[in-house]
Formats: sequence, structure tokens, C-alpha cells
Amino acid sequence: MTETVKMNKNAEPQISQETKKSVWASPVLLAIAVILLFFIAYGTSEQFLKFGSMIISSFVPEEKGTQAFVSLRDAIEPSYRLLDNEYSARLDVPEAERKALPQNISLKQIKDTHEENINRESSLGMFNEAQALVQHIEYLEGRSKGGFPEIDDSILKTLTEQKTVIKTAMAKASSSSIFMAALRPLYVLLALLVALGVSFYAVKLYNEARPIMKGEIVKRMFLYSALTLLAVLVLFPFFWMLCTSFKPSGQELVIKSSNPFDFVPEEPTLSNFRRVLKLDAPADAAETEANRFASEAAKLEQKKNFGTYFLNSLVVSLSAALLATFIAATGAYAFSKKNFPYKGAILKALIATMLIPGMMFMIPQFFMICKMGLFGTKLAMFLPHLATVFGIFMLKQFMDTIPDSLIEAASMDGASEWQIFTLMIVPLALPVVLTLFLLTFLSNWSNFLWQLIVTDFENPGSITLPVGLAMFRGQYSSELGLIMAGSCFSIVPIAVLFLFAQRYFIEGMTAGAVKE
Amino acid sequence: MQIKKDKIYMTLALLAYLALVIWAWSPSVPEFTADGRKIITFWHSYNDSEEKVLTEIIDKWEALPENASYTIRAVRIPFSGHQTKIRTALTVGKAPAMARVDWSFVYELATKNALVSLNDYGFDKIKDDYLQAPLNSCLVNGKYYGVPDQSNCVVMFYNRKLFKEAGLIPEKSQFTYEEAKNIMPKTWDGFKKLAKSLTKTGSSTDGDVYGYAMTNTLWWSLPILNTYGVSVISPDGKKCTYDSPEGIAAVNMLKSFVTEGIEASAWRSGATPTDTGFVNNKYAMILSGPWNLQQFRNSRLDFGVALIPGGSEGTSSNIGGTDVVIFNHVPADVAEASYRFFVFLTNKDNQVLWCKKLDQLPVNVNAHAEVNFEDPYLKIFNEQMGYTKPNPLVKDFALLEDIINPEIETVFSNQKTTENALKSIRERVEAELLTEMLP
Repeated sequence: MTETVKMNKNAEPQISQETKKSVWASPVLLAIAVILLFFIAYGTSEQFLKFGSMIISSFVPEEKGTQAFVSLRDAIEPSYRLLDNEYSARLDVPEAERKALPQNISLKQIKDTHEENINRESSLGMFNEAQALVQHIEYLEGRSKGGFPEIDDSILKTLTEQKTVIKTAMAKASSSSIFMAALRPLYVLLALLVALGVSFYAVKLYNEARPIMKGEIVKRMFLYSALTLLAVLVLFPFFWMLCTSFKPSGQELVIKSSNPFDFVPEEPTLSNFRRVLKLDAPADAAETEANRFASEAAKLEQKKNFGTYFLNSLVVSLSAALLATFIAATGAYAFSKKNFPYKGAILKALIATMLIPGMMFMIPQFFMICKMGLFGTKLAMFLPHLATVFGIFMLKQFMDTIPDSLIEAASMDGASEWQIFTLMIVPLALPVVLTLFLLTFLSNWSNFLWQLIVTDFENPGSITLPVGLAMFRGQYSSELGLIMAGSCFSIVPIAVLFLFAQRYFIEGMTAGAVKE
Repeated sequence: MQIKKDKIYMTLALLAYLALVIWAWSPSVPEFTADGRKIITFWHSYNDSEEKVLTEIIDKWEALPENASYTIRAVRIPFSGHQTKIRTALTVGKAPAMARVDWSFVYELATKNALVSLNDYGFDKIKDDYLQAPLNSCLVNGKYYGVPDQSNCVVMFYNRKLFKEAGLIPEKSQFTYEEAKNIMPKTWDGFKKLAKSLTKTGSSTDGDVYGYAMTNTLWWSLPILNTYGVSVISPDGKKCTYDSPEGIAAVNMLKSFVTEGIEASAWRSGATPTDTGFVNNKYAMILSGPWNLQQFRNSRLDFGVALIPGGSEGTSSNIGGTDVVIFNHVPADVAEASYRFFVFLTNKDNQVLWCKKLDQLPVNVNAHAEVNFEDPYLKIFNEQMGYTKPNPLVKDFALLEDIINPEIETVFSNQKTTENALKSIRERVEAELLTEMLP
């Protein structure tokens, strides 16, 4: 970013008009802030605490909720069961009379959330439930004699006694519950501070790079708003992917009726990540230890996890990108700066091959790979893709813009061909070279079909991420949580590469487009 | 100075990359032939829990004296893409000895002479041990080329929460087999009335709720077509008979779901899929299979299953699942051992084991008595399986879908009449799929 600033400053050193500082952040950073806010606003503090406790419980599996939750649950249970039994026995009570009971403290509502609170071990939910139960008992105590619902005096007496127990438990739990209830505004405040900090930093950077001319503020406002909206749309699927990867099986497609855009899991779990990494598998391997072959097979099976697939993909994509870029750069240099017989015809012939769809080559290439004894190797994954005519053409177009006189001067100073290529041509063409590197990396990272064909599924060292992800898609259904957990691995290198090389990528995509 | 630093960084990066390559360049698969057993490779696409039971069965098979000289290496491949993988592997002789494939793929493989006919090993003598409808997918030109290893069908799923809200079932009741038998109408007309009573659009504050949601593909429409006795392809495999009076009646019934507003337009591109709408209490009834039982339970959905309502031919359903096949490049003794394994995998005892451990439906009829369907959901599925009819067999089922689905969509969106769409389907299917049929 700093280099961009310098470059732009150098390019436009004179700014004659009066400039103003912008108050609008870079759209992508704003989008992150918006998503963060969204996350906070629609999530609950309980969900955030759950995330925290999920990470802790992955180290301490015995952890089963807070003491506050346990004491509240024990206090509520007898009253709840007593009331439930009482009301269950009176199903014949007319609907109109049932409705007479205040809805907010009706047993139905308490019951609806009771099982959920128990399963989620939600102390905050349990606190609210206890409060509603106390109010319900107080309603029963205060209702007119003989009013609905009819409760025997003896049962009411028991309930009154239990109300005291519940209240005591509530008092004990209140400090932690109040703290948890207070966390929500705290989270919002924290998110606001983060969002504002990020925004102001972005504004500072952007203003240094491109000061706003007078009268341009409204235009920028619209521009940034539109870009922010687009950035949110682009980032939202990744947000959904991340949230879904933490959801337990069966919950992936459940949409909350209160807010359909709230994808934050109610009961976050690391089980999807544990399964794709096969962290729980060694126990199974030990079971078959008696059988030597089975044991070997189990070890191989254990290696079939997303950690291995990730490394395989990384090796394949990096190797492909490095070698293809090198080969294309040397080829482009020869076509651009060297003279040899039939140069033009050879280049045209090469470019003509781009007209043939890649699918046409697939079977012959697969046949050749097998004949070479490379089936199931990493080399087979990228060898046929090293010769990239598109790369040669793209680099040649850029190298054509480098003056020949530079090469002649270097040559006169005694530079060898290799030195001219590595110390002069490649650094000058760096944005385009990096762009080709990125494009080749991306195409190999996400190449499913070719990698599927050459994969030897008996060998874990041959399975890559796109192929591994396909394992979770069945005949009629897919394991969405596992697919999303696996996808989280697949986007990491792409995100990192783009983060560090986006400047070169954007420059490279436009470089060589215009020839002067 | 800067150049020197850059060189150091570049060298370090290169070294890191080389270290990664050396570390990750794993050796090739060890050969398990130390004890002299012949390896029979089996490509399958079972999930984790199924794979465990498969390993158990393989261990039992290998322990039998007659199989002492063989070992089965079960290799999991992704189901999506298994056809491409097998096709390409066959071209260069890299195919395994046996594989588990989609039911619709057997026909293509058999007609391309890639498979061993199981009649050579006497399978036709034990064919009656298997359910007829799934077995039919292995029958090509009078010979059996595979054994069904897993079979299923779809039934009518209903959302009990929405049914309770509509007062159709008691608030505190649990799903039972008896409820399933009573709640679902026996005819499509009754079904439409039920769906209408459950449809709430426009006024509901919780959003629209539809009585029924459907997917517009041939395979998903087959249950309804079968209730009308429609044969998409004639029994001799030479004609498309979808435009018969039965076909027209069935498609008109499907269309009436749309025109009468009881269907959620889930068949449209971009609409909420049937499973998602069902789980989120937006669709009261959908067709679905046993693979969704666990998913729906995990989502804490209150749901039930029931037999599909009947048309002029009574209730029916489609057939899904997979078959296991042997490729014809393998030596005769390996082919024979593979056949023995198939028979073992699908025999009564192993089917009982498979179904009890995995909550699935047996393909072996002898296992039905032993598999006690205490679970009311599976009981319904098992009952529905008894009414299934064989799926249409063509050399490329995906192409058949590609021809039929867009035409039926034109009927739903009133761009074509049912008669015209079915006529177009017949002409295209006969021209593109049935002209090169083997005699």
C-alpha cells in the first residue's frame, strides 16, 4: 500500500486543486466491518460464549457448562415437571381458556425453550426460563379462586416453596447471567470500535494515495456505497461457509425464523473440522491391529485427511505455477526479443492451439501419463499444464513494450543472456509474471476433473483438495458441514496470495493491454 | 544491500518450497502381496459408517477357506465423478477388478462390453433372491451384469409441526406407523385437498407455507408417473411411450399441483430446494428418501413418512441405489472370486447385518423377514419398496433427463401443452437415445 502511495505520488506530483480528506473507508475493509457488525447484531452473547467454550471444551472434554446453569436447571426441573404433569392431564380444557394465560409466561412457551436450553446448556436461556417460571407461579398464586388453570391448593403450596428455591438459584446465578447479558452491548461496542478503527485507517491510507478533489465528495460517497454493497455480496458466501463449517450435522440448512440472514450457529461444534482432519480416527486403527494388512490399510486410511490433501494441493499448485511461469517467461522472451526461423509461423501455430478445447486433450494426455508410469503421482497432476500458450502470449505482449535498446546496452556492458533475462526482463515484467503465476496457481488449485482422473485413490499422497471435497457428496445428499469445513482449507492460500499480490495482479491484468 | 537481502529471501523461499516438496512427496502405495494373496481392487463410494461395515464383511469373506488366496482392497472414490473416473480408467487399463456404480451406469458399461456377465457364474439361478425392481437395472439384453448392493425409493415426507398447526394430528402425539397409514390420502385428489388445507400464502406473518414441493427431474417424477402406470420407454427398449394417455394424465396431474397453487414452485431454478423448505417448515410435504432420515432427525424436525398416494395404478415409487459390477479385463479366477464376494456381500446374513447397523433396506428378499423394522420410518420405506417399478433403462440416463426435464418445465410454465411437450420428448428420445440400441 505504501509503495502504491509512492508510485501514485510520483505519477501525479502536482495537485493544483484544493483537496479534502475523505471520511469513507476502503470498500473491502468496510465490508468486513459491516459483516462483523452483522455478526454481532444478530448473534447473541450466548453464541459467542459458546464459541469460546467450544474451543475450551476441545481441550477439556469433561467441561459441561457453568455452575450457574447446573444449579438453575436443578432448581427449575421439579416445578417444571409438576406443572407439565398437571397441565398434560387437562387436555380437554377449552382453547379459549388456555389463551387466557399470559403468553409470555405460558408453560407452552417455557416448554418450547426448556429442551433447547437443556441441550444447549444455555445458562442465559435457563435464567430467562427460571424468571418466566417464577412469574407463572406468581400468576397462579394471584389468580382468582377457581380461575384457569385449576390447580389444587396442595400443588400450589409445593410450587410456592419451589419458587423460593428457584429465586435463590437465580440470585446465585444472577451475577454471571447479568454479566453475560451485558456482553451483548459490549460486543456491539467492541465491534463498532473495531469497525471505526479499520475504517479510519483505511481512509487515512486512501487519502494519502488519492486525495479527493473539491466537489468530489458526493461522487465518492455513491462510489464507495456501491462498492461496499458489492464487496458485502462477494464476501457473504465466505461468511456463510465459515458459519456452516461450525454447525452440527443436520443443522446446516436450518434457517432461523426470527432472522433468516442469521447464519451464526446456535450450537457451534468443531466436529466437522475434527472429521475432515481425521483427528478421532486412531482408535479405529487400533481396533484392526490384529490384522497386519488391515493395519497397513488403516494407516493409509488415516493419512487420507484434509491436512494431507492441503499439502498435496499446495505442492502441485506451487510446482505448476513456478515451472509454468518460468517456461512461459523463457518462451515469451525468445518470441519477443530473439530472431529465429519461422518465428511468426510457430507463434501463430501455438496460438491456434488455443482454439481447441482443453477437454479434447484429456484422454490422450491421460494415456501418455499412464505410459510414462506417472499415474497417481503429483507430477502427473501438473505436467500436462506446464506448457501454457496463453502465458507465453501474455508475457510476450508485455515484453514487446520493453525497448530493445535496453537489452543492447546491457549486452554491450557484458551481461550474459541469462543475466539479461533474470536481472532485466523478469524484474521489468514482474507484474505480468506474477499475474501468470497467480492464474496458474489458481487453475491448478481448483482443477477437479484432471486431478480426479489421474488420482490413485489408494495413495493418500495423490489426493488433492478439490477431489477430497468431492468425497463428501453422495448419490442423493451431501455432507454440507464437512464440505464447508474442507472448503475453509481451500480458500486460505488463495486469500493469502491475493492479499499479498493483488497490486501486481491488477497491474498485470492491464499491462500489455495497450501497446504504444 | 537491498539486492543481497532479496537474494537471501528468495533463497530461503526456494529452500522452504523444496523442503515442502520433499516432505510431502509421499512414497507410492505399499503392495500387500507379502503373503502371496492376489489383490482384488474394489472401488466404492460408501460413506464412513458404511465403509466400516464393508470392512467387517470383507474380513469375514477373506477368512473363508475358498478365498484364502485373495484379498480385497476396498478403495473409496468420490461418488460425484465416479463415472468419469471409471470411463477414463477403462481406456488405459487402470480400472479396478470391481466397482460400485450408480444403477443407471450399468447399462452404459454393459453395452460397451466393459463388464463380465454374471450369468456365466450362474447368477440367473439365484436372481430370485433379489428384489426385482433394483435387479432390473443390471439386466441388459437378457443377461445380468451386476448385483444390486444398496437400494432405496422415495416416500412422502410430511411436516408434523405444520400438520399439528392445521389440527390434523394431536398436539402431543408421536409419529407412529398407524398415524402414517391414516394421515396420507390414498389418492392424488385427496392429496391435493390435503395440500390445499396446508397451504397458507399471502396473509401469513411467518411467510408463505405450501402444502407440497417437488423437483422437476425425471427420476423425481417417476413415483408419480408409476402410480399412473406410465412406461417412459417401451419394454423392448425401442420406443418412447411417454406420450401415452397414462403419461398425459400423469403430467397433467403434476401440472395441476402448480396451477392450483398448492406447490411451492420448488422446481424452478433458484427456488428453495425441497429439503431446505421442508426442514424450515415452509413445505408441508415432499418426496424424499431414507438418506434424509438422519439429517432431518439431527435438525430436530418433527416429521413423518407415509406411502405415496395412488393414481390409476395405486401407490408406487421409483428405484434408487447402486449396483456392484466386475470389469472384463480381469483374469477369470479374479472375476470368479469377485462374483463370490458380491454374492457374499448381499447374502441374507450380511444384508441383515448391513441393514441393522446402517438403518437401510435389504436388497435380498430373504433378509426381509430377519430385518425387524421396528422403526416406523423404515417400516414405511420397506412397505413402499414393495410397490416400486423398474426405472427406464437407456444408454445414457443423464441425456434422457436432459431431454425430458426442460420439456416438462414448459408444461408447468404454460408454454406448451402436455400433449405437445410429450410428443417432442418422444421424437427426441427416439432420435437421440433409442436409434443405436443393441438388438
